[in-house]
Amino acid sequence: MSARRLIALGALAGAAALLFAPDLAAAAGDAVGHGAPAPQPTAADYPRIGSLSGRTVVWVFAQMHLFLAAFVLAVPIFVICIELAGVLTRDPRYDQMAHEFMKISMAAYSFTALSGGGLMLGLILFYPMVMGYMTRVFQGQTMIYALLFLMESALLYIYYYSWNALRYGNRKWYHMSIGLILNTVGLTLMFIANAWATFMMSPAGVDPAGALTGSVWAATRNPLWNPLNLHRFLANIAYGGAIVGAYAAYRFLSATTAEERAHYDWMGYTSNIIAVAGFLPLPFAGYWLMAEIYAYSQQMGITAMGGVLAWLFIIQAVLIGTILLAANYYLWCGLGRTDEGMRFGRWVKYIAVVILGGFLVWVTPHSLILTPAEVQQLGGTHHKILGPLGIMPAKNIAVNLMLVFTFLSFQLFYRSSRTPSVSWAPIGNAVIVALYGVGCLNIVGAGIYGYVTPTVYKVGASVPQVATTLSIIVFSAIIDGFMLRGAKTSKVHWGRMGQRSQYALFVLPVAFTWLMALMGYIRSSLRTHWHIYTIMKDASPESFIPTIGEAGNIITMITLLFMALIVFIFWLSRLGSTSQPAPAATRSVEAEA
Amino acid sequence: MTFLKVMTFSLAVLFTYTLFANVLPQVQSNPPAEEEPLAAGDLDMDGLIAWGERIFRGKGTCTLCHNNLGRAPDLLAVNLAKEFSERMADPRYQGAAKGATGAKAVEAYIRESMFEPSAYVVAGFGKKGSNDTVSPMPAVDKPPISLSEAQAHALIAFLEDRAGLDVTVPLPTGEAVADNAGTADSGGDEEEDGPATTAKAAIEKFTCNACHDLFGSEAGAGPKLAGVGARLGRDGIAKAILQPNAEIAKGFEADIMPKDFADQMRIREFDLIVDYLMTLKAG
Amino acid sequence: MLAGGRWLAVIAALAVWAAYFYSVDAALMKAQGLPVGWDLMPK
Repeated sequence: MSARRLIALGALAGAAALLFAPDLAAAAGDAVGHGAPAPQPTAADYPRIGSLSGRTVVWVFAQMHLFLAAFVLAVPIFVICIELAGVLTRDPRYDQMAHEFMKISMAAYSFTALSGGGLMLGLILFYPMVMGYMTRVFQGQTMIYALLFLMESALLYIYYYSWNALRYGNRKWYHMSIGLILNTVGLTLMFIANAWATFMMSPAGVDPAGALTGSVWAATRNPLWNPLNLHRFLANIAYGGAIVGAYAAYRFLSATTAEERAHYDWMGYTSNIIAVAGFLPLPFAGYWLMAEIYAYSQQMGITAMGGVLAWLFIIQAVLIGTILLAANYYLWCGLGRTDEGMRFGRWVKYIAVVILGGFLVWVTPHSLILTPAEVQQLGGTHHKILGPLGIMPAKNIAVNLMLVFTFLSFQLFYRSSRTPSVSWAPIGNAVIVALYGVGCLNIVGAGIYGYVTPTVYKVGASVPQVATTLSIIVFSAIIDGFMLRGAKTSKVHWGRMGQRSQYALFVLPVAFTWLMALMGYIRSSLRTHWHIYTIMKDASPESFIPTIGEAGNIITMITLLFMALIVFIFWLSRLGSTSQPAPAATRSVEAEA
Repeated sequence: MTFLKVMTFSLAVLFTYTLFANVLPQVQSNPPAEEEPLAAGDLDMDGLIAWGERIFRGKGTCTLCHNNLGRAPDLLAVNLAKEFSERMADPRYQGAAKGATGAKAVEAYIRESMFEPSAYVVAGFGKKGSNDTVSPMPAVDKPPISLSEAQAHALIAFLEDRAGLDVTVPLPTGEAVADNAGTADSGGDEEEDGPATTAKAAIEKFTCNACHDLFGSEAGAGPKLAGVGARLGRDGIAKAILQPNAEIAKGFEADIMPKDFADQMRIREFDLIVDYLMTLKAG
Repeated sequence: MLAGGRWLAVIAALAVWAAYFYSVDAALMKAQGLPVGWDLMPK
């Protein structure tokens, strides 16, 4: 084994050690329970600064921090994947794109840290007792968090600035190792922060009064920790893809040469793939999170979906519907890049019907808040036909079919530039068509099953639906993988896209950003009037859950702030490569010298 | 120009979402209001029942699940008297009111349903995968519901009245009514004659460690309890404490462990002990 | 490939996928502690 291989292995081992570091340190700090229970603040214990709403200040900083953190965690994930693709395919375009993705996100890191600092300041200023308690519970883990940030910064700068120096051969592998450790550190940071957030919702490792009874690890590994870890990991990838897609779309629209247009069209396509790939498994991660919430506390679960926060899930449906429609629309426009692509074009309208239909079903509410006059008009508290579309079986059918057909759009696009040359291609196609057909029937059947069986079975039937969707995606991808080996590829005319298609790439990040903030509002509201659920009551004057309208306005304000910041960050990334030409006098002096 | 077009488009999309959020029905959810303390003298039986109904619809958050959506028995819609007697006569029912009849038995059944919801789960309403042995309902005297003794009595009175039975719970005294918080304070000090407030105090109060090896007592008259949570589960432990003769551990004899813990222990003390035993690791 | 062979492939594929999804459905329901009969209805 050469010295270089040893070093690479050492780097990997180091990465693994880093991943476990917080847990080891926490386990080392495993002492007897720290007896102090949670404080029970009264209204007077909450500091007031002028007429500032402490909750809004913390909300703005927290949400900005989450937007930026999601972005800066996601980019290194797909950058290293693209970098690897570049090594495996020996196509230099991949490496250039990976480098460019890193460049446009560099400035975001300092803003992430700044907003994180602002968040901490806001929490200390307005909720000192909560912060005091949380640091008592998590002790040394907070210091590890700070140290990891230092490591993240160092690794990030090294990863970016060494790109050209560690460009080929073995050095490329060192570079990717650095990227791997960077990702490991970033993920660990997210896992630690997730532990704090989920501890506030589903506290573990503490007694009913809030005193730590186990180790920090027990508090970390509370019931909602891993569901949130998975959900945020996937959502970050989707989000990062959406944001860089907007960058690519903007550069495409303002491109002046055909090469530029081709380059940014390809970048937009790749970004859309990343966003959709991260997006497809998200509903399942979200379902797991919701299921764990229900398992932990049925009250909390019902508050979310059957109680005061129920309408928010209709807004979520609208947002996800627009995201899927935009992503699909972009893929359909993309069919025009190849000459053969248009023959799939005639199927697009059927896919559109399914996606739109699914969206409409998903948007249909079940329980309506009606006046008595409206109840009379309706002939009951629920609409006879639309009412049944409002409950879970219908919604599950809708979302699973939407995901299957979104994948179909992608598969059609992928096929549009490849003609299979294997002899068994017709059978392969038949197998895939049968898979889609039987799979969709199964999804619909499992949904209808939910209408005729008891509640427990209704809920249980959603798992086969998920498995079906995943099966369709995985198996058809595998079959295609074999079937398109050595396929005849036709030219993809990168850059041959209408202007309208790029706007789909703007809808994605706007909708995603608003959706993330909405979900954050829901997640925080699930705690109702508790700081730490069942342990520490929120006695501040702002302990109520604001109305959707108020929350929507604050969310929009934060989204606008974020959009402005992203524009600034992208502008900064281009600023570095511009330079002013020297004035004429100096030029002639230089010419003489 | 491109920048303006893109920005205008993005802002339009953003505006649509904001508008949508503002036209939907607006509901603000406030934390539960503190109950106004009622003067004990004013509270007659009708007042108690009315208070119970208010708690049922309000602080108790009962209607969150006990409604016509199928999550829990719809207590307001069914014939409660019939329901109660059917449940208590169910062969699966092994709770405190087993074999008993009359208003006092119904009170015991209701009380058990509120404080130990998993003691008996009506068929079809159990947690998924538990085969109707674990209830998704939280105990009403613990957070997040945290009803006080007086509030619990009011609820029982309301349900008994609705079932057409005589109310068997006493009217609250002045001190009990003024106690709104419901949760025990978390000080951890135990009073001489009062209820134990920590697991250790409860175990010492009922001298469990005199026979079982707990807190370093090294007593061997009763079975070892290391890992008992994993072995028996919550229900198994509960049964072992409340009905010690139901199942005797190998190598031990019947009629040694006191049979009257169900009468001696407060529910909170019982819970503290069971919670603690669940945390004991094997080996 | 013969046209008849193509139809055979489709029917065979349908049968295979149907069997696959049926067994997955049954296994997943059972794994969640929900007993189902041969027709996948609650037992």
